[in-house]
Amino acid sequence: MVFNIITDGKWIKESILISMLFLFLIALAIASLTLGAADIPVRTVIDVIIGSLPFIERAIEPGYRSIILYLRVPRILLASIVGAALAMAGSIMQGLFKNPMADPYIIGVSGGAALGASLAIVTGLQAISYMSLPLLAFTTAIITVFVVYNIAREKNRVPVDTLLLAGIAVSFFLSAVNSFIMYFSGQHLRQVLFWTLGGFYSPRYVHIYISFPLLVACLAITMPLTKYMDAIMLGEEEAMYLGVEVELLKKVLLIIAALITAVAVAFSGVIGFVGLISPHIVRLIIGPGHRYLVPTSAIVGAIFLLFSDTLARTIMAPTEIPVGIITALVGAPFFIYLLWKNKRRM
Amino acid sequence: MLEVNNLSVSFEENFVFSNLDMHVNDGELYGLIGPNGAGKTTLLKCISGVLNPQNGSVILKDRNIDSMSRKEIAKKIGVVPQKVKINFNFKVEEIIELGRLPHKGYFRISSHSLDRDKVEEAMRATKTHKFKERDATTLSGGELQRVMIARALAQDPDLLLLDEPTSHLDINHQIKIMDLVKTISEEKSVVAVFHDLNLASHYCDRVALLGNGRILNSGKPEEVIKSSTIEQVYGARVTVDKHPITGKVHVTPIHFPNQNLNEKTDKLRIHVVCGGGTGTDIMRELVNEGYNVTAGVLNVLDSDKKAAESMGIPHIQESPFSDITEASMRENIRLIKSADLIILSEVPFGEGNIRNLEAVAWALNNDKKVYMIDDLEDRDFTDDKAFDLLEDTKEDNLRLFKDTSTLLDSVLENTGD
Repeated sequence: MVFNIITDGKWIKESILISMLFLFLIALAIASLTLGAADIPVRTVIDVIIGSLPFIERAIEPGYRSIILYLRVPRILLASIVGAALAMAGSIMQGLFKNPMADPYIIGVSGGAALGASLAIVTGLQAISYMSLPLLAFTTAIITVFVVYNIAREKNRVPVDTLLLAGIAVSFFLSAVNSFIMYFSGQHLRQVLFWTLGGFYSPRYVHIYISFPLLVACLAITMPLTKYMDAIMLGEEEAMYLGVEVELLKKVLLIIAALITAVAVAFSGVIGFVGLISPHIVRLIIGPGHRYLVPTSAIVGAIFLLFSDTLARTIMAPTEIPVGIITALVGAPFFIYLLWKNKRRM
Repeated sequence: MLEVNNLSVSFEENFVFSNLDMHVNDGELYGLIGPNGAGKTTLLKCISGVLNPQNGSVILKDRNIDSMSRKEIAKKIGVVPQKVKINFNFKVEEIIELGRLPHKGYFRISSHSLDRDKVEEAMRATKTHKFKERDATTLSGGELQRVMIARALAQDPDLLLLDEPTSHLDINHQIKIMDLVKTISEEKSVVAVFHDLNLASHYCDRVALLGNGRILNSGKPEEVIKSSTIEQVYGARVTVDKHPITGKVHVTPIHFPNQNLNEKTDKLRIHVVCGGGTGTDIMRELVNEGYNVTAGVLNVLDSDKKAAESMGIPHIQESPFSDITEASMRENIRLIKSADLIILSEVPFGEGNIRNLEAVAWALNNDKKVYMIDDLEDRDFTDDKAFDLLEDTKEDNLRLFKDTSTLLDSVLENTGD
């Protein structure tokens, strides 16, 4: 696929951009590995990474090794994956709704996941296993999307405007329910709140084994669909005239976006702004063609969230600020700056 | 190229049209005209396969579109919608490239050289090559319409469907777009919905008039666009005239601000003796002021007769190339009898219509007031017969004026409110 992109000739600019961004992500990851409550020199980091590969031995202090391999690496990987997933979902939602204000939570995923999470915490279910909270959160998120979808559905068609309204309505309802639960959560209040604000407190490799393949699979399915997403930009009816099976496309895109968002939120809570502004940043640099918008948004999302998360755990070390606060604090002004700079273009 | 058979469509409770038959040939520009709500856009949607009819079939090049997938249809039919709103800043070329979508396989991500060629062709045909790098949101209505047509052409269809292609454009762009569409229709077939009857008449090879749930008439524009039909279907009074050189018909709405044409008022009855176009202005002025106007005798080919007809003025007509017959003469006298005032226009007299002057003479001798212009000698081509006719009449019933406007002013002053 990369070959196709490059040999096309016309899209050199976009290919170079993606490659550069990818390299930047890796550099950022390595830098993040060195930062934290305990600052670890780069040399040691590299030693640890290489040392973890089979058949290679390096002499390292055991403390550093644990921190890097069991705390920071999974956290950095997960932050990147979640950022990529949210940004990709955001670009899909903005294309589906033909609305630059759409974000991945617009059809109720966040409300649904929060419900599951707070239930798991308050009922003590989460003590059963470290996977029980994410599992419950994922399940309630998917059920919520299913409900929203069916509210909006008319026979075989899903009008996008109705879907938006249904998502908003259900989100409001769930928000009220969650507030209710929080009010009565007693000693669990802090935990529920922290989950809702989003963060990577105890990332495990299992999370990565689940989310990464899913992300890659969804990206692979979405890539051939990007040309149809461009067609929908002209209007759903116009896309039909171009031979696109619009209703089927909408269903598939909704499922993909809901899936990756639900998985992301299940593992990291509700982190805002990443899904909304990553596609915007990309659009402002290389334009709205989805063939590049979707994958580039994913990388930008990964960079943005990784950066925010590193900031979240270093800025007031050893305390951690919930990463959702950082994304909002960093994201909102940045977004306003972009808008202001490109007033006419939007 | 396209056959529509027995098509019926209804939405929920509302029936749109039924048993509709239509036939479009290769290489022709076929227009759909009719009032709002007649179902023109609905018909277009059925042809493109987006709407499923309750009954009937659409056959494109011997294939029923029912049996074709949306993608297959898109390779054969290109649709240009009325107006498109672009929310994101796509480049013009990117939009035109979307036209190649039906030809792309699912997994193909980049373009083939065939795609490139078709896009180039489409841009050349629509003269959009020069702004292919421009942001589509910065285009004017006319430019954007050209781009949308280019996109449809890039699909390489056999049939092009246009929904009111120029309704929102200024006249300069209307002509440019229609010229483009006409050129395209020489190779491909085009079916277009028109609101503007004159555009349809000017450019279409054939038209179909939709109304009352069916196609009322189809054929060449001059056969379909007739004033009586237009009035019946659109509910508007019009006159339909044929250009003597191009042979195209054009429609002009008739508008009398001051009165409802069919109302009988208490105002004076005025009979106008005219011909050769000399009476049109007089009749129009009088009708506008609310008088009950009659006219005669007018030859069927005379423009005054057309005017009288469009204004709803009862008149006596005579067959072409014939002198005024005894029967027409009698009818004319009958109208004169019931008139309060007779006006003779600046019509020249020859053997064909000299009997009209006899009628005027009769009027004078029977105590009817007559107004006329004082230059009869200049208009007399009957060896002074006209002059002689008026010699023996009662002078005091006759009033002479130096020109038509003075005559009309006098009429309005003396008899008006």
